[in-house]
Amino acid sequence: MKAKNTDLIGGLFMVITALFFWTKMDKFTPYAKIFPKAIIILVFLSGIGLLIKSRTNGANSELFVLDDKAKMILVAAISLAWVLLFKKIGFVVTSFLALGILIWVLGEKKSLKNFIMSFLIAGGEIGLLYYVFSKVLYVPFPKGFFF
Amino acid sequence: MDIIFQALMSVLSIKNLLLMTVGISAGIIAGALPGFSATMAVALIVPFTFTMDPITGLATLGAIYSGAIFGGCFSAILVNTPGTPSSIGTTFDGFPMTKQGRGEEAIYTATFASAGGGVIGVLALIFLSIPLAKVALKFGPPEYFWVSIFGLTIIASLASKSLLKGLAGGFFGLLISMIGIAPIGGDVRFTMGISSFQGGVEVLSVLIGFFCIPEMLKMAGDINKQKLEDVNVDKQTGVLMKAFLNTFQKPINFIKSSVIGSFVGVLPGAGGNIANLVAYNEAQRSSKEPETFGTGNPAGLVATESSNNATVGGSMVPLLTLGIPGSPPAAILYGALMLQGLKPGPELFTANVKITYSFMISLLIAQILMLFIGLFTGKSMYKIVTKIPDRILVPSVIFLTVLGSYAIRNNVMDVVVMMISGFIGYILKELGFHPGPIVLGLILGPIAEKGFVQGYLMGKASGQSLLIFFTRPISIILIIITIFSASWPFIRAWSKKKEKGAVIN
Repeated sequence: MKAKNTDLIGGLFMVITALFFWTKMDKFTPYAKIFPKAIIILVFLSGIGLLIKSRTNGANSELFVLDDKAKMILVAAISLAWVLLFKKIGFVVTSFLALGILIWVLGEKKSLKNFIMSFLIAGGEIGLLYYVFSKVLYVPFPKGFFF
Repeated sequence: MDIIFQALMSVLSIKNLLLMTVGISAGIIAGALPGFSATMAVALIVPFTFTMDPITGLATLGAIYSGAIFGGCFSAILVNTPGTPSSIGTTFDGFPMTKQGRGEEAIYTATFASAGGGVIGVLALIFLSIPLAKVALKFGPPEYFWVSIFGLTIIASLASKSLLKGLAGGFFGLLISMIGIAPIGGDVRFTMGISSFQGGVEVLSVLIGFFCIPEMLKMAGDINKQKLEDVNVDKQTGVLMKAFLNTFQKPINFIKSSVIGSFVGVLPGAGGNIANLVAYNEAQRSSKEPETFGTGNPAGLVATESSNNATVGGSMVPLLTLGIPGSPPAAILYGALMLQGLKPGPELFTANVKITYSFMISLLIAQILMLFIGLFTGKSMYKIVTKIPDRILVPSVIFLTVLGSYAIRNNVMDVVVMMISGFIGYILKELGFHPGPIVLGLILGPIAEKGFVQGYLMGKASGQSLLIFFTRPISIILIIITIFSASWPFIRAWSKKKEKGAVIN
C-alpha cells in the first residue's frame, strides 16, 4: 500500500473542523463566544501549520496496516449498527445478536458448532451483565420493539 | 496523638475490616468496568450505609472510593481502556507492558504505587488538612485558569513524535469540550440541534471511545496474529520483587507523584483525572530516559497510579475542613456525612472529632487492605484476560463499552458518541494524533474556560481586565511553572544536542 502524507490529511481535518465550528458561532453572546473563538483560531492555525509542514517536511506512513481489513470493517459496521438500533429494537435482543455475530465472525472456523457456541457465550454474558445492571443497579435499558 | 489511637481502635473491629474488604473488592470491580466511575460506585452504596453506625458507614464508603480509583488500572493495563478518567495515563505505559508480556508486573507495580500513594494522600489529610485547605482557598478563577494551562503543557511530553500534531489534538479536544451550555452566559453552543448535547459531551464516553475502540478494531483486524496467550504467565519469576523495586527503588518519582496527587486532590474541582497526567508529565520531564515513556516504562505507571490514589486523601481535605467537596465522589460523601447527622466543615474537628479521625484512619487501613487484595487478585486478573481468546475478548470489551457508556446517565446518545469517538480516534491515531492530548483538552477545557471568563470579569470589575491573570502571587508562581514545563522538552533537546557536540569535539 502506498504511504500517505498524514500531515496533509490531518491538517485538512483540522482546518475543515475549525471552519465548521466557526460558522456555528454567530449568535453567541460575548462571554460565551470569547473562549471558543480563541480555540477555533488555534485549531485553524495548527491545521495550517500541518498543511505547511506537509509541503516542506511531511510525515508519510501507510495507513490501516492490518492482516484482515475486512474483519475490522465488519466489526466496526456491526458495532455501529448495534448502538444505532438498540433503542428501537431493544437492548437485550440487539446485544445478543451483535455479540453472537461478532464472536462468530472473529472465529477461525465457521462451523454450525461454533455458531451455536458463539450465541451461547453471548447469551451467558448478556444474561449475567443484564441481571447485574438492570436488577441490582437499576439501570433502565431501552426495551424497544422486542426486549 | 491520643485521638488518633482512639480512632484506630474504633476502626479495627472485625465488622469494619470485613465491610472494608468487601467495599474495596466491589470498588475494584466497579473501577475496572469502563464507564463505571468511582462516583457511581460510592453513590450506589450510600443507601446501604444509612443503617450502619457512622464510623462503619464512612469506612465502607471510603474503601469503595479507594478501590474504585485503584480498579481503573486493571482495564487500563490489560485492555488499554481506562476504567476511570483517573487512569488515563496508566494506559500509556501499562498497556505496552502487557503487550510485552509484562502485564502481571504492571499490575503489581500499579498495586504497590496505588497503595503507597494512597497512604501518602491520607497522611497528608491527617497531618496537613488545615494548612492545605488554607492554600486551596486562595485559588480563584485566574489560578484555576493557569492550573488548566499548566495541565495542557503536558501535551509537549505526550506528543513525542510531533509537537504540532499534539497541539492540534489538544486544541481539538478543547473545542469538543465547548459543546453544550456555556459555563458563563448560558448559551447553547455547537449542539448541532441534538438536544442530548445540551448537557455537553460526556467525557467518560469519549474517553472510552478514544482509548478502547481503536484498540479493539486493531485487534479484530489482526485477529490471526500472535496473541497474548502465547506468553506463559506461570513461568515468570520474581515479578513481585520486580514490581516492588519498580515502585520503591527510586523513591523520588513515587513520593513526588504522591505529593502532586495529594495537592491536586485538595483543589476543589480537580481530581485524579488531572493529577495522573500532571504526575506523568513530571515523571517524564525529570527522567534520565524520557524517550522510554510510552513504550512500557514502569516509572510512568508508578507516577500515574500513586498520584491518582493520593487524590483520595487530598479530596477529603476541603470536604472535612471546609465542607467543600473536592471531587464528585467527595460530593457523594458530603451527602453521606449529612445523612449520618454530621455537618461537613470545621465542626467535624470539634464536635465529632472521634468520627472524623476514625474516617481518616479507615482510609489509611483501606490502602493497606487494597495492597493485599491487589497482590492477591493481580495474577488471576492477568491470567483471565490473557487466556480469553481474542475472538471472545474483542466483542466482550465492545459490549462492556456499550454497557458502560449507557449506564453513565442512561442516555443512548452517549453510546453513539462513544462509538463515533472511537472511529474518529482510530483514524486520528493512524494519522499520528495521540489520543492523550485530545482527551486532556476535553477534560481541561471547561476548567480553563470558566477560569478565564470568570477571571476576566473579575479583572474588569476591578479595573484590571486581563492584568488580573498576571498580578496575583499564586498566578505568578503557576505561570513560572507553566513556562518551565512547556519549555522543558526544548531545553532537554538543546542540552542533549550540546552534550553530543561536546562528545564529538
